[in-house]
Amino acid sequence: MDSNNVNQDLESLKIRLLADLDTCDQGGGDGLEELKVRYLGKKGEIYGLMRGMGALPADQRPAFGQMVNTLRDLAEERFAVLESRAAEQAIAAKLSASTVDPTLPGTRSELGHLHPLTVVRDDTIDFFRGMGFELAEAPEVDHEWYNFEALNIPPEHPARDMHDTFYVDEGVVMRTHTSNVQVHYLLGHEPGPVRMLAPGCVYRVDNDASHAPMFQQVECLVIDENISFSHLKGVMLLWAEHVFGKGTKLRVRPSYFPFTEPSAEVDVSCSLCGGAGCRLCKHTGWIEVGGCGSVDPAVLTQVGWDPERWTGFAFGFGIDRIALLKYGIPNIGLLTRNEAGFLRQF
Amino acid sequence: MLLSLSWLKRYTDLPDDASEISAALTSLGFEVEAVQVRGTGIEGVVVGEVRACAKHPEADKLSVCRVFDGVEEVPVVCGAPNVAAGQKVLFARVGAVLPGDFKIKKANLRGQESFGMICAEDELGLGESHDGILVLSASSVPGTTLQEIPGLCDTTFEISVTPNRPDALGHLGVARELAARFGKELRLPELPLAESGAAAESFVTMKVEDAASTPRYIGRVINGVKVGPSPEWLVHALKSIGKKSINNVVDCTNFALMEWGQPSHAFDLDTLAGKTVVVRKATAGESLVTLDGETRTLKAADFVIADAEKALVLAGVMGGTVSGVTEKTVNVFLEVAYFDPRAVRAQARRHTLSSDSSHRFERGVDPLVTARVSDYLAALIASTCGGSVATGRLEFTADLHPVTPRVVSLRPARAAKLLGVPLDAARVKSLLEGLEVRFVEEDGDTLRFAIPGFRNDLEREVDLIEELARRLDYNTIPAVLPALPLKPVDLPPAEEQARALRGTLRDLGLSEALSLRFMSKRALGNLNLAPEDSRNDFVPLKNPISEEWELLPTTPLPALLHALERNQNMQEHDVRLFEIGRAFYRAEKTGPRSTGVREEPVLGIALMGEWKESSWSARKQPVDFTRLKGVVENMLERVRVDLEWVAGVGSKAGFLHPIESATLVDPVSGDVVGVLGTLHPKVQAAFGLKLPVVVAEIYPLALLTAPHRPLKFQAYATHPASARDVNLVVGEAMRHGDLLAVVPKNVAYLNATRLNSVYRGKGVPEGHKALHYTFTYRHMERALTDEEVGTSHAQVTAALAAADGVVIK
Repeated sequence: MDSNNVNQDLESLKIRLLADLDTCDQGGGDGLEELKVRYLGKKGEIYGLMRGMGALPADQRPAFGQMVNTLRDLAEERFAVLESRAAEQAIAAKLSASTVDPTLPGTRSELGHLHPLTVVRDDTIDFFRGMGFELAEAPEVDHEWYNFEALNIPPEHPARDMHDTFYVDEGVVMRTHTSNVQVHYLLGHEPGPVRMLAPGCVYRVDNDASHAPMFQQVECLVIDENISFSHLKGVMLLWAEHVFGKGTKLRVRPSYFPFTEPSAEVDVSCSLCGGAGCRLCKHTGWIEVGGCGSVDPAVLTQVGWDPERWTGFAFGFGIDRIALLKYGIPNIGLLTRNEAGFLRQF
Repeated sequence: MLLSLSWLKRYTDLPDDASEISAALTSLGFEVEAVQVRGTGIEGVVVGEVRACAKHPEADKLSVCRVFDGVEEVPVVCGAPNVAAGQKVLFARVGAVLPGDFKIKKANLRGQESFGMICAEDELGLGESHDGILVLSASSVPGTTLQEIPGLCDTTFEISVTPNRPDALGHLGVARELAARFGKELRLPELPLAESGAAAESFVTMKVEDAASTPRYIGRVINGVKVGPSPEWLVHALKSIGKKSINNVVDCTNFALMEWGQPSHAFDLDTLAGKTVVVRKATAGESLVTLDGETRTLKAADFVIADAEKALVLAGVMGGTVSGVTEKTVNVFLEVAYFDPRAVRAQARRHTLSSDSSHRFERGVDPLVTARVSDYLAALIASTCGGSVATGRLEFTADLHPVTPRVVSLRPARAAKLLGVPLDAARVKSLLEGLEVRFVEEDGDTLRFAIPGFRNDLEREVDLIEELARRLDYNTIPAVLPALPLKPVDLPPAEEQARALRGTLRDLGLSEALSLRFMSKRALGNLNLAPEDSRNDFVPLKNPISEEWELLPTTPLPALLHALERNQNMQEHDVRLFEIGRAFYRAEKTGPRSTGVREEPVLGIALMGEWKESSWSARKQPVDFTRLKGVVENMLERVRVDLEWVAGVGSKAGFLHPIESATLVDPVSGDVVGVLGTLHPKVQAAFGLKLPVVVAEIYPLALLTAPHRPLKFQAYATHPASARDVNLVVGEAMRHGDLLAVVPKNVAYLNATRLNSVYRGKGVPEGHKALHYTFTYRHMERALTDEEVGTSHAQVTAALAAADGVVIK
């Protein structure tokens, strides 16, 4: 075979290849795959040239082989460019064909909710637990000895007027405060340091916009050998800042609970107006949040602890009240109506 | 307790700024609940004299008056029915300003000119009365401004007084506190007592038979009083704290009550049978008409003031209608007593009656001041109502009644330690001195103080320590954090579990409810319970608020079902609730302080309507037993407890569908951990529920003691599994659980069995269902060959095919 012929074949193949690629490109890539098979397939024209190389004299074969390889590389490169362009176009076409409306609402799962009082209760527990207070509890239906007598409130004591009590039986009451936990706890422990926290439901014969017959309190009790009234103020202030924010101020007023002395009511500066006076704080700048005091020695004596050695403080506050203040809930009754519109807010 | 500022000022000098006084009262422990300032924002109102008064020619209800205002006489039209010539009235001149910035202008009323207005109480903010115009005493001088008239413009403080402070139930006691706070003198009221004539004993016989309830009783006799209206100062003083004037004698006793906090009682001496006053126990069945008009049948425990024939007064609580002072009264027997606080309280409670007197006696009046008040009050009556005070007192004092002040010890070092502030003996003495708690003697580190009679709450060292804190002002005591050792604290297991249950149910899309822990018999009855059901062992309240709340709950379900109904009525149809409530059951009393009540937490779950898989697409289906079961299974998975499921409760839990239900059982102890199922149609109807409802009741304590799977890592297969599907047709009676039981337990490589669908309808014979299962086979360390899978699966299909009534498709 004449080497000129072969070289001519190669040259004309290259011209045709380039012309076909141009046509294909202009035609938007139509027939690209067929074209590739035709030129680069195992039975394609370029390999056909390779096969025709046997007709050449041996000394010309390497040079011809080199030329065919160059042509194949060129073809592969040009095909790759067109292929990637076609792939891009195909993706672009697919994307633009989407009918999904991105302004549709998200497909959400229906979330559940914890009750706001649980949120406040758990937060309170965690706050005090972090300072080494352990959780304690006592029955909600209790003998009145634990609810009253042991707390220095004997029968026919006028302080019982402060507790509108539900009776279950002679001498058996719905506890009117979580302070009964103090008594059960102290009776169940040997004298020693105490840091105790007791959240729970309490009951009063009362039902209006700001009083419910059942509500939740938290009782806090600290006893040690050198606990003073100023420690009570320190811990209460820390708690008030945790609940109502840094900078919250505390006001402590003398009050009367037979199981603490000195006894006090605690107000915090109004979180809404900062103390300037608003509707929430009834224009006083202060919001009452709980009662507290140093543990009355009579209580310690009742449970067999030596009040000369052990001193302490207790304070209690309403979880309901904190939740009402924190979330701006206007009526305590809303807390127990279990309406979906209420529950799903928390 | 209502306090009048002008009344307080009788006893001490006070700041002009009412808000300063209000702040002081609150910081002393007398929380101010309301302050009312009367007579502010008023200008141009003066005493006017009605010189003439005639009917309005054109209007029946109006009068045309001539009013002299101290400067000139002007015509005024007045609509009050009680206006009359000669009256002294409050007159607002033209140009006057009344509360609410209401300006008085010249007016023309049906053709009659009017230059000003004659005022009623409410128009000036002096009271609520709009019965007519306010008529002043005849001695009032025309032209005197409203602000200059004694007793009309005043500031009142409504304070709450804690039960330990009866001394603050009189103006004098509060004045004493304020004087100490502001560092001013206290002026005790004094009146010279002029006794004359025969001894008091010669007019009346007095006997105290019940010394236990009446440790101190003092009588005085005032002869020849002239009962009539009270002088203006007295009327105004009582009116300033909302008390009505009755007559001069009674007003004097009420004045002393609100001054000293000491109740007293004036009897018409001439109406006392046998001229005798006896303090005695009542005889059962004896009766008495009290001043409120009620006929009181007395009990043997009661004690009364009686004459020779009959009970007159329910002692310490309320007087009777006979024997009181009337216009006809000439001679008065005046009682001032110290009644035992507990006795009065018991008496008041027996008769569900409370009065200003009982309120003070039950808290304890000053046991040392009885004689002094009786002398003072006798002098006040004689000077106000005329008459003469008979010589001497009739006195009774029980042996144990204190006659000298109590002495209480205090260690300043102990006070400093308890309060956390430095205090030495000198400071302690000076602080207590202001409260009339006087230093008596010193014994080493201990100081002794004499406690005044009006402070019967000060019995122990700690009571004095509280007084020191109050004198210092609680707000000056520093806030200090105690230095306590670090101590890690775990949550108790029950609390830990409750958090896990709540958290899981919340994550599953349920909302936590909180119900009042009360229940009604009707609601319990609506649960369709078997008679022996323990939910019938309820605890009733002795004094429930209402029939709806007459019992303590034995199950949280009625409250949850009521909540579902409430939501349903608000068009909230798809509601998923849970609540960890509390159940209270009757139990045996085990000791003297046992309650006879057992209580434990109970978790209730109630789902209603449709369970939406997503927020807006149409994927939703009615809640049913399997949905609820899935929720409970998820919950148990989270707390890692495996329980035995016993299908169908039958009639054991009447509120559940007998078949679409299950009981959860602790596989080790056999304890019931809960029940769940579709709500029984009867219960559904009784609670007014219109949509599908499923409920569960789970006992957290039983769940806590059930075996928990420890959380330990398990090796897991990483090689691909092989799945084989099986389609079965079975009769309706064949249950999924029955089919599972047919599959041998020991099939090699069988890793999971999954039910994909249950189908009834076209292609499946009537009374049958088609079940589609996928069995998955896998090996922990390698891929299985087709042959291995085929051998295992053949065992499964052979076992299924061999079962009665199972056709493999």
